[in-house]
Amino acid sequence: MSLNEQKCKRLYQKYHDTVAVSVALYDLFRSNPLLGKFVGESHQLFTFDNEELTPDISTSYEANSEGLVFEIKYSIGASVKDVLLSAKRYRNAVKGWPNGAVEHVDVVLVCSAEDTQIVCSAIQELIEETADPFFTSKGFAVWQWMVSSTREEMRPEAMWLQPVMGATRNSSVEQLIHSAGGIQISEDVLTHLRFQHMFVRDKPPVQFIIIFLTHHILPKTEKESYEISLDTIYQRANSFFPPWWESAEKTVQVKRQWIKEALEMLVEMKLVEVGSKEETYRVPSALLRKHNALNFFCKKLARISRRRRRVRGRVARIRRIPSRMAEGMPTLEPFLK
Amino acid sequence: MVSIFDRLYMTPSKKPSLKAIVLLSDLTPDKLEALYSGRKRLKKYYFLQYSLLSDGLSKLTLQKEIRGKTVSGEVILEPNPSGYWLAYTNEPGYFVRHVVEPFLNGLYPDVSRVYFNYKQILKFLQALEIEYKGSSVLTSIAIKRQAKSGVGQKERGTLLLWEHGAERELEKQAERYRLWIDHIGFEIRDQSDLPILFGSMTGRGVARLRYGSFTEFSQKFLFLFVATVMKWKEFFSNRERKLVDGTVHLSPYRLRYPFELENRQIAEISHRLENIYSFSPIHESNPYFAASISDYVDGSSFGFSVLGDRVTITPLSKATPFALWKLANRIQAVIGECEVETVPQRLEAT
Repeated sequence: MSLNEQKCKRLYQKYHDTVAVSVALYDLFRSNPLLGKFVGESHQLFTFDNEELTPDISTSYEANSEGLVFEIKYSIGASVKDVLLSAKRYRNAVKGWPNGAVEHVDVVLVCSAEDTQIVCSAIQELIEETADPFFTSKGFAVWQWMVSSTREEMRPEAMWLQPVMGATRNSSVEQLIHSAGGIQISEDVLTHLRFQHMFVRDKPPVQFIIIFLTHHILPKTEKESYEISLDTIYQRANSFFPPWWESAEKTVQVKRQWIKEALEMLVEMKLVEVGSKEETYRVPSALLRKHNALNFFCKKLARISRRRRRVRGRVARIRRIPSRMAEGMPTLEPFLK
Repeated sequence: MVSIFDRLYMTPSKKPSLKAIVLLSDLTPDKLEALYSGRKRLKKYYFLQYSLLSDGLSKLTLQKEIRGKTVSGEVILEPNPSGYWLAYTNEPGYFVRHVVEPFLNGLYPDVSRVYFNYKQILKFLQALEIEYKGSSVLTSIAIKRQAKSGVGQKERGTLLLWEHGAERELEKQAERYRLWIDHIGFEIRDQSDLPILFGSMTGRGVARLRYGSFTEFSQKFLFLFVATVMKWKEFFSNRERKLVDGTVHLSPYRLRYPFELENRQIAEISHRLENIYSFSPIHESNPYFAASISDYVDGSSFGFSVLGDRVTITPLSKATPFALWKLANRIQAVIGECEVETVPQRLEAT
């Protein structure tokens, strides 16, 4: 898919907001114990068959006898049905909770307001295709997040969590989410808590990692350029990933790969050179002095995207047979006669 | 130096005031030549001669071409192991404004300037009043002001508020206008109304002595001034994001205004910061603004947001007190001076 400058910026901002939503849900349960107990981010839960499941956020309620998990999605595209079917698996995550097992687990899929249309259509299709009762049952809900101003004029903008479809069995949460406007995310999240971490489990767009590296990770020196290894960059970046990612070898590889891809993209943009040793990079200090870094990198990425598209050629258009005949079109009836 | 300045400024005659500039640096002044040589821009525009004097003092001879004329003068540096320098000169104000101050600005982040807003200066003057046992020390406040919803340049000229209610008038002005302090004049007299110290000070850490004993100026006035500087340095210190036993600790601070910030002011901040820092906006809509910022000279990085009447700065991977103080000043230089305070801690991430 081609990437234009606007879309590049939008995806960068959307990922940042997804991180903020993840922090907001944590903040919501920590500051409102009546809603339930915050159990953990990517907390290890298990099915009856001991299959391991790690939803983004796990909470429990009714004295830890019920579970409510949240799956936060940065971007939902062609894989929407996989996302939904994966979310469905969480209802079986009844073991591994603070009190051992819970009676049932409700699932909330949280996505951007831009993606809710796609999600709702996919759910509709899944219901038609499979007649799966899960998507219509109490215990599955879709929420959206959006930034908007309140009705009163001159009031600050706020981030909101709003119900889209379905419902959970946590009555306190349901009451709050169905209040006027939905759940207003705390101002502290918008002003500073959103910078606690820089990542969620979803893979960020490459421009996000590039800007993260240039702003917060790559060292600033008086030298014109310096050589730095992927390992050093990874070590410096590691504290910005949520802590639950620390131990697992698989996740270390995933994080390292994200950083590597961003550095390789910088090499392709001819902004960074490959270093003298394996997995090292030569970074010019001028790279870190880009004033509007988002504009700069998005322009470069859009150009690369256009170039790749030219090399590949245009995607062939598949002419579809119209399901309904346009008015005034001659019919085949005279020919068949 | 003490006896010369004592003699010079106890005699009432027309002469340039003695200027003392407070600077923050953990280095010693003998590194100045190396710092100067490493900065192309400074080497291009300034000529520097450094010499060591007795008692740990150093002398700088600075020279710069300004509109075809050579402007030069001397500065004496007195370092302190607590992490600050005092730069003294009795050269004319033109030399200080156009040669010394820009030269010192160019030494950032190894040598950093200090920045005070009117609230901080008024607090300092209150401390001075206590030191001089209740004497009224304030004589005039020169401010630049702009209507709250205004954009672009500050109003031309300077508004002078004189003693007898100047502080109350300043508070009133702050309710109606966005304010920027230019300088504050002070006169300290003893109980018989005899003058002790006459001078002024600016928000950029420059104190001027027009009349009085240098010993008094140095031991009382500058001592208190440096104490205020060090207190604010402490405020901006140790704020970088920390990860301790898997827990993230943030130490944000905020600038709180007596009015809601408008879209035009936010756009102005965004534009100015974009010219000084590496800057990536996350939200540019009105009136919530959020961005990721990096001070590429110093290597510090911050999260930045504007919401309602507050600008919040969240120090991230590296955050020196110099960079944080500078950023607070840059923002106030655009939207006006305000209260600077720590964001109360509410929750910690696990």
